Amino acid sequence: MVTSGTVSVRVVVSGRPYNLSKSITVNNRSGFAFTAVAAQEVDSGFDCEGTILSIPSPPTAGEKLGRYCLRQKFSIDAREVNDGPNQGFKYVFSVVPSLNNVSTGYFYLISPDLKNTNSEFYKAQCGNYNSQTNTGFTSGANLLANAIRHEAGSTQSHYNNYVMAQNDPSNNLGVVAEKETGSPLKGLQQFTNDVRDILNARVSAIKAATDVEPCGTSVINYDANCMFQGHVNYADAQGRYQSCQ
Amino acid sequence: MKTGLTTIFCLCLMVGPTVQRQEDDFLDLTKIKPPKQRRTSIIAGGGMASTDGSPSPKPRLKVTLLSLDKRSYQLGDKFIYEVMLENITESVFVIPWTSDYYSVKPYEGSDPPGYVSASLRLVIKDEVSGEASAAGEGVYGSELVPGSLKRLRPGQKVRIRALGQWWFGSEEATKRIMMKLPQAYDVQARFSFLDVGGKPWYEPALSANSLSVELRKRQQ
Repeated sequence: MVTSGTVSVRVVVSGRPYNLSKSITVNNRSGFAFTAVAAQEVDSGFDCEGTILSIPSPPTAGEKLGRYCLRQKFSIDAREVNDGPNQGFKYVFSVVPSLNNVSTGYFYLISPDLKNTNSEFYKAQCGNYNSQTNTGFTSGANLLANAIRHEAGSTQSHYNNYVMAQNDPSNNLGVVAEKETGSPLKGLQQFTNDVRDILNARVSAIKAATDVEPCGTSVINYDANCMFQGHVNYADAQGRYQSCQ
Repeated sequence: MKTGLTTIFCLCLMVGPTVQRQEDDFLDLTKIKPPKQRRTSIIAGGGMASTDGSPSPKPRLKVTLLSLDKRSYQLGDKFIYEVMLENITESVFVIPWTSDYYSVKPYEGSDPPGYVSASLRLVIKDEVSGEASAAGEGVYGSELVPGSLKRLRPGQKVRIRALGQWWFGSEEATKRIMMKLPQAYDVQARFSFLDVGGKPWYEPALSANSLSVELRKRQQ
């Protein structure tokens, strides 16, 4: 059975008819919830379904020092109940987080110059920021840690936004799909379409939640408490950095 | 040469099943007979990839909900409605134009060339999921089935008449809605692409206008 209701049966015993009925509650099946995928670091040039993740080297002012890609996929196996009181009802037999051998994934890229402690860019981050005067630069170590945290950390990150959104039962594709049932008056194909449409809307909701900027800014030089850690020392048009004083 | 032409003619007969004939810019999905072919299981999916807040591709169509056959329904009732779709891009935009899924996609597991599918549904506001959608209709098309794709010129408008049912899918959503009945709802139409032939995913197009309907509990 796929939906709750009241089943009834007419029994005739020794010529005397009895109308019997019993309410039945159908509980949600377990094991359908999608688990958030782990964040996976990728190299520059990663192809995220047509969008290439890359960061200029050396980084330039206005360009991001970290990027991410959320690839959400699902496949459902929709079926029809063949007999019993729910005959003709449609339901989702199974749902998996992949489509055509492509799985859901969360990928992030950190500027190669920021990861290279010997790069000119990394060494130019002086670590002499003065919060009183709001002058000076963040340190390379802080900038790198904050970039990773902003994209893939367990707090104040796009990745954490994704995890929270996809773990929300009203968004979780597996949980949502498990509950869907189709009318006996509609075909299996239409039920499949309806479920896909509903899940695509949840995909959009998870994407929108993931896009929310941690600490309210796309600038990454904030720590996990959203405290500004100092300016980034970018090279000028001639490739020169401000000196550390 | 004659053999070649005969072969082409036969191939056309094989791959080009007759799609319901329609007035050019009008598709009536309410007169389609149920398919003879049935499948016991359909596997299909969806999703999308997005990077750092990249905006979703905007809808390419403007949807207008033109009419509903009634203004008061019981939960579970079927209804007939009509929508207008308008190509709001500056280039030709292709939409699926038949409900004959089994002709367009005769084999599960492989998409025919240029395969496009979309779902047309009516939606109401829902406090949990944002919106609850009534059971809708699917439209399909591929390059192999003549007439199954509609190429809309910029600004071109087409109408679709479709059959829906006030059926909200999950028991939870149905219970939430049922608790409020009778209730007036502002109903909007939504046209969502499901398969786009390898092209970027489009954001579903939701009608800017709405029509008010009353939903009531089903009388036993």
